[in-house]
Amino acid sequence: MAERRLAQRQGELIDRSQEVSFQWEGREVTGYAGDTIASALYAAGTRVFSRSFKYHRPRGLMCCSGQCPNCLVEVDGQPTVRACMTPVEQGMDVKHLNAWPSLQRDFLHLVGRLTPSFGMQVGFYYKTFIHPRRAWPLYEKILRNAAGLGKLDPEHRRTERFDKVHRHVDVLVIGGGEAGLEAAAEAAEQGRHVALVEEGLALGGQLAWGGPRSNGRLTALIERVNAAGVEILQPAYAGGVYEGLLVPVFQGRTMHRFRPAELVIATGSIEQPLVFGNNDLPGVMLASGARRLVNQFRLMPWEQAVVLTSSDEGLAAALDLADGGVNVLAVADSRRGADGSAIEDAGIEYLAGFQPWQAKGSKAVTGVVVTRDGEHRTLACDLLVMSGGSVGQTALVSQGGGGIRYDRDQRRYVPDSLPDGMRVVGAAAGSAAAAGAVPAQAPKTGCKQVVCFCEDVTTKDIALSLDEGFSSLELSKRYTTVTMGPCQGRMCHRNSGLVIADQLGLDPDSQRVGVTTSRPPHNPTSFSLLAARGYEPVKRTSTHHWHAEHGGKMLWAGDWKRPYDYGDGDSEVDAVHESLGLIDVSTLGKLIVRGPDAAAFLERLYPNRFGDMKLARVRYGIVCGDDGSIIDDGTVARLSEQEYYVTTTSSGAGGMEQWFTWWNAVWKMDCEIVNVTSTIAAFNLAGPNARTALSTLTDFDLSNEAFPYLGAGHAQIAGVPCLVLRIGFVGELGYELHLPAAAGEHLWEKLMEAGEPHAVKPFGLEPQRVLRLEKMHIIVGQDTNAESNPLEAGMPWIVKLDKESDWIGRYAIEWYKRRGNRLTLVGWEAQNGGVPIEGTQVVGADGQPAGRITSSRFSRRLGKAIGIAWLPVEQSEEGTAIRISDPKGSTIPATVTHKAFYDPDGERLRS
Amino acid sequence: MSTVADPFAFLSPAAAEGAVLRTPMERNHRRAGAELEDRDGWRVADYPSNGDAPAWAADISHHGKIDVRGPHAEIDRLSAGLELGRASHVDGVWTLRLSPSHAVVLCPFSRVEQLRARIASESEAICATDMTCGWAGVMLGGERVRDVFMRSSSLDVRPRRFPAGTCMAGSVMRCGSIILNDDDRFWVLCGWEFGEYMWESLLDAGAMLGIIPVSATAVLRSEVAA
Amino acid sequence: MSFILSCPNCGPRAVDEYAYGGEVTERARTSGDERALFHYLYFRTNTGGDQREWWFHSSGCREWFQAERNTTRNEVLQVARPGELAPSREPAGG
Repeated sequence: MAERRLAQRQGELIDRSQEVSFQWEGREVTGYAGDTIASALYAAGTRVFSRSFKYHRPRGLMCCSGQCPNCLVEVDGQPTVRACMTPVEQGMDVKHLNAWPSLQRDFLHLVGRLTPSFGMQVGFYYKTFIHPRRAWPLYEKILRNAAGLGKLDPEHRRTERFDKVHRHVDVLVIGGGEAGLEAAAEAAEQGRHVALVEEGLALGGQLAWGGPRSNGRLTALIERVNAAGVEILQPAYAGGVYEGLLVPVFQGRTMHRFRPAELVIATGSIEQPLVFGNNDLPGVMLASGARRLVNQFRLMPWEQAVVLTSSDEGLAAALDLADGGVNVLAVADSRRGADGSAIEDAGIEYLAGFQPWQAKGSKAVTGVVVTRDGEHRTLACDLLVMSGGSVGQTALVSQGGGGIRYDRDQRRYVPDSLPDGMRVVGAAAGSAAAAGAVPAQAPKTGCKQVVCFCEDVTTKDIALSLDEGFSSLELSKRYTTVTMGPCQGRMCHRNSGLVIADQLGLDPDSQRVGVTTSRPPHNPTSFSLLAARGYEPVKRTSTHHWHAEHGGKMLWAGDWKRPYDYGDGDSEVDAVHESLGLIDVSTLGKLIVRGPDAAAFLERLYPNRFGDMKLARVRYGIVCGDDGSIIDDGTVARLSEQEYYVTTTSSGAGGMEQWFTWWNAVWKMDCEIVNVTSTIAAFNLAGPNARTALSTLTDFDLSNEAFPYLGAGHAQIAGVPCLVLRIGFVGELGYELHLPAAAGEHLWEKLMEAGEPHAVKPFGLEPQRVLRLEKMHIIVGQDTNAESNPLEAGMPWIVKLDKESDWIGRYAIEWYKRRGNRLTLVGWEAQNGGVPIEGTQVVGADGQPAGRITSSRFSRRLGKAIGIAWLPVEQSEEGTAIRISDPKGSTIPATVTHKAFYDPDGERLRS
Repeated sequence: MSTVADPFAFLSPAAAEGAVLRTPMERNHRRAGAELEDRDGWRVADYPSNGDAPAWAADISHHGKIDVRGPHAEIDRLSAGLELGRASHVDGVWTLRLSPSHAVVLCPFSRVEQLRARIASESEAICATDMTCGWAGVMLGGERVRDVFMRSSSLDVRPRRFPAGTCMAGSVMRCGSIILNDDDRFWVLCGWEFGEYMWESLLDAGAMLGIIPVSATAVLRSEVAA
Repeated sequence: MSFILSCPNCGPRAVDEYAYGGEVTERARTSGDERALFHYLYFRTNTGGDQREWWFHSSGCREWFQAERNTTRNEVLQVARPGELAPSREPAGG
């Protein structure tokens, strides 16, 4: 709207040649390009912008600089947007946040006023809404809808993309006011790579909104900064400072993740409110807020203003406002003996020693009552300006690990200790000028004296919390929630500190008052910015797409995608037993251990004996921790005198590489360990027809005589160089082929082709689990846990205690041997058709828990459920009858067995 | 390690005869409309574009790679005293020095078998392993290559920290990777199992900057010259 | 946690590029002295002060190194290849 704007002047942010229209509460409003939502609405006559968090009191513009919560609105579906920091855009849809049914008539405000004694004083939810208990879900629903600043619409969809960029610079300057611009220019002129971040819509800070006198200096500074090549991000804000000087800077839809070598905090100071009755009425504004409206947006809609101050800053503000055309009726200065002559010279009444008592008005300020020594004076005004001194904007200092303390001379909180690489300049660091004596609070009135605008905490609330024993700022904070709102103390840390000190009869810098920490994010930040482009690494084998294209149900197995089965797991199990199956085991960890000390190294690492292995043989091995517990298993093949090929479990691959390399870093033996997990694809061809099918693809002699069970050989198969290991996790004649991953899909296809006459089936992880269970082959981590040692896990034969060398786990296992086994890992067969659930308990003869089921599956081949369990030694003999608990309350009878359920002598394996 | 009857020869796709060799990104290339042509047994993508874009990416997974480990003195000798974090390019072969005892050698695929054998034969103490299909590779280039990279990794690749001829091992797109600055074209090597994920993620990171996929043959110097 | 830790091979990196390997300990070499064995297996000094510890550069060079780090300030004092840390500037536990 064109009405009520002052004459055009240097320093204004609006572009009067361009009108912008948007929606506010469903009706159209027009402002200028360069207006913020707040300034455009204010120009159009809006005075109530929101309702406060708890009491739903009407709130209007107060700081006009993004520090207070009063102008938070919803824009285009996104809540918690600061109207005073957001430029208007054509077609924006702006709505209020938390009033019902409307901002003007908020039902919830009436509720608070109708029940004054019941009230919603601090901590009310600990004392009320308790009975009847079953009504609590209803109470909770009501309370949750009543309080809060904005609703998240779960259906709201954003289609724009958000971006995340990692940035490295020599110097990052936060704050584009005078001090920040100077620091940036200086550093850049020295040849350093400098970036500067400014939150506001214009560079310059106080130079920008302070009035025409400072504009010349600002222009010169901006020229200097540009000439020096400083990168300017504006409008953008630093979300916080994290360890290692990690500073996320949010600009539009981009998060810049900065790691500067040096961080300069030039965030300036924040003007503070004064504490008196109804100090949150619309029309009560910080001096800097009123000056921004006048100087930057050229608004002056007020009839008459009164300025409340306790410092020289306020006197200067009053003069600037008067210069700008505001009719300042009077300045009430709580100090006595200050020099008010400049005020009087300007024709403004100067009331020395008067402090504010109460603002008058219901939805907007109509006047103020000031008081001195019991004398009251009422001054009519529609703009009540508060100049309560200022504090340094030190949130980022606290978040970055620095400390703050109350400085008595400056009467403000100042940075105390700073982390390495952080420097604070300008008003944020402190000000030599005394802030003046700021009274903690006005004498009592019947109306609310607001200390925390975000959380609606009054002086009475704080008094109550101190009364109830929460006797410091940190404790009172947790009880009253003061400083916990969006401003994180920017508007209330100082005042709450002063109020608490005053009520406890202490000095504000007393340790018993203390300070509190503001938390990131510094400003309301949308989750889209934090999530930005998220990437989740996926490991795929060389035959991944073949599996997916042939019915494989691809699931996460650790960080790999693997096929659970191909649609009919039972038929896959049958195929392996009866004819031929093929499984992709490329995810196995694979390590080369080679060198003069390779054998000795493996001897030290494993309880097995590997030093005397013959060439071209492969053995099963387990790896123990030094506490004797099983941490992984796999195979070891000896390919030459000094060269071994080790496989590990899929999930243990990374861990085993670390285990191996760590011990070698300690022992510094003459051997190299090379992780070839990625390079090699591996397939297991298993079933009675494995030899027949494979023979068609290779000249390698696969006969049982030439290549018996546990052999390791090199063969060219379908043109692909392979290491062939004859091992048998799944219990049938089988060949595990290890080959270069690049040829994976090729060889897989050839194997499937060669297996076609034998009705070959690919089989997935679940059929593999059934097959291995029929052979009672354990899975580390499933059948074993952090306390399982090989003696109790049924593998005493693996542990070579007579080895000469020291080996990892030796001493613990010797200790276990001396102690004797307490538990045993055994197999069991269910007797009545039931299928026990993994993890359930075995019920002992005395009805107490006596063991645990680690694996359980129904075997169609055997017609019953089978599995593995830990049992106490005394109940673990072959043939013992056990009972397995069932969640339905009954038990399943089962029989203990020590022999594999299928082909216990391994004849099929060795055929 | 003897070069006769090398028990780890099976690691090398170069030892394959008549087998089709594929990179992890083959389906991505097919979906994007590229032709696949045969080069030394590999199916290599042929994209229509000529690389004239603010940023481009090429699948170079088929390039030969050798992992070299051994005592510091041996690696020093082999790399002609290459410093940590530096890479040298001699006669079509890149050598990257990643640690005192570890270097990575990159060469055209047709030469990898011979080169590995030669390196291994220099000394018993040297362990040279063919890792051609251990690492998938994406080459990034174009004016905005660093802008794409900054959206993929927190490694410092500013020109004065990462000039041509430098290399680093670090996290890219949350995967352990090796990067090389080849005349302001970046080689990004990651585990073979991450190839498809890395390709998709890098193209996504560059999407807002106008990145396009291009043929390896257009950008790999060894193949352009050939 | 986002502090910077320097790998002796690769230089300064964000800590999420590494895997932590625990305190540097002295390995017990007998099962005869039960107390010593259990102490080695299950107790750690857990210093509030300068601690020597293992780190693995899992996203980078994949080599192990050692660091001396002050655990109360989370300040890394030195890093070195295994076994090469310079003597502490303060007595342990300071």
